[in-house]
Amino acid sequence: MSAELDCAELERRLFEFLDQELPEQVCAAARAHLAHCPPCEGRLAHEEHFLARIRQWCTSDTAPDGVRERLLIRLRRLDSHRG
Amino acid sequence: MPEAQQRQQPAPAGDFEQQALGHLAALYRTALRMTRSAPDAEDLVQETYIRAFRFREQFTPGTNLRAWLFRILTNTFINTYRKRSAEPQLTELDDVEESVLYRRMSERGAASSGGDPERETLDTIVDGEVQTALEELPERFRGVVLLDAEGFCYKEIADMMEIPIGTVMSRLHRGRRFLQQRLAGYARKQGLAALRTTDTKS
Ligand SMILES: [Zn+2]
Repeated sequence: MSAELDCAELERRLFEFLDQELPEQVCAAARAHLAHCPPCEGRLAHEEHFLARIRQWCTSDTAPDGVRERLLIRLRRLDSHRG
Repeated sequence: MPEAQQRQQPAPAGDFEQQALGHLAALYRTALRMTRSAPDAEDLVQETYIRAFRFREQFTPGTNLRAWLFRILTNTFINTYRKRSAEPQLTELDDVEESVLYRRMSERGAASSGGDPERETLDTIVDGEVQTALEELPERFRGVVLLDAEGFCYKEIADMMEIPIGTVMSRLHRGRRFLQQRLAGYARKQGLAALRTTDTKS
């Protein structure tokens, strides 16, 4: 039987939970708590949505034209210098 | 550009380069957000690949090439670009403990749709505002937020930045709260603007 986990503790470890970085036992306790605590569940859904948005913003592609071409030119030049 | 994990096989010459170049888009977008400048980002990425090819013997085949490249990128950034800019230390980051917008909107009792009020507000935030918020995020927090977004776990980020896992966690936590706080500020301005429009109409 895993230890109980209250609202405050869940709040403290919310990001770890969402990042899937909690040890399995704690994770199970967190899920058990969420199953019967609507406020925490709502809070979790909100944070999850926010995290998804941040990650989406941070990983949208931005490469302008020519970055790859100029990189290849520079690498080739380096190769030829090395002989 | 899909970055499917390629099976590591006995590599013919040039294979390492090909695989490494497959991560260019991800390295560049991270470099751009780290340096906040397109020319600097391009320099940083070029420097990263030059080092990666120079030290390729240090890469263990079969391990995570993407993580290895990001580690070089992060190191190079920390050791060269960071020294150039002295950033203000934002002490306000220490004070952000709660999801400010969530609390504020909940207090207002936004029962209109029964949904998550902050989520709706968050969805009205435009990309330019997110970019501004990210740029305002102090660099040591921005780094962990960016590496997290690229899918690295706490341990990998700790290795890349050469900081303890606990520091990764606290920077991630505070960085995310900072972004929430900033975006809440933008949303609040929009909300006020919307209210004003409504007032003039009625
Ligand atoms: Zn609870």
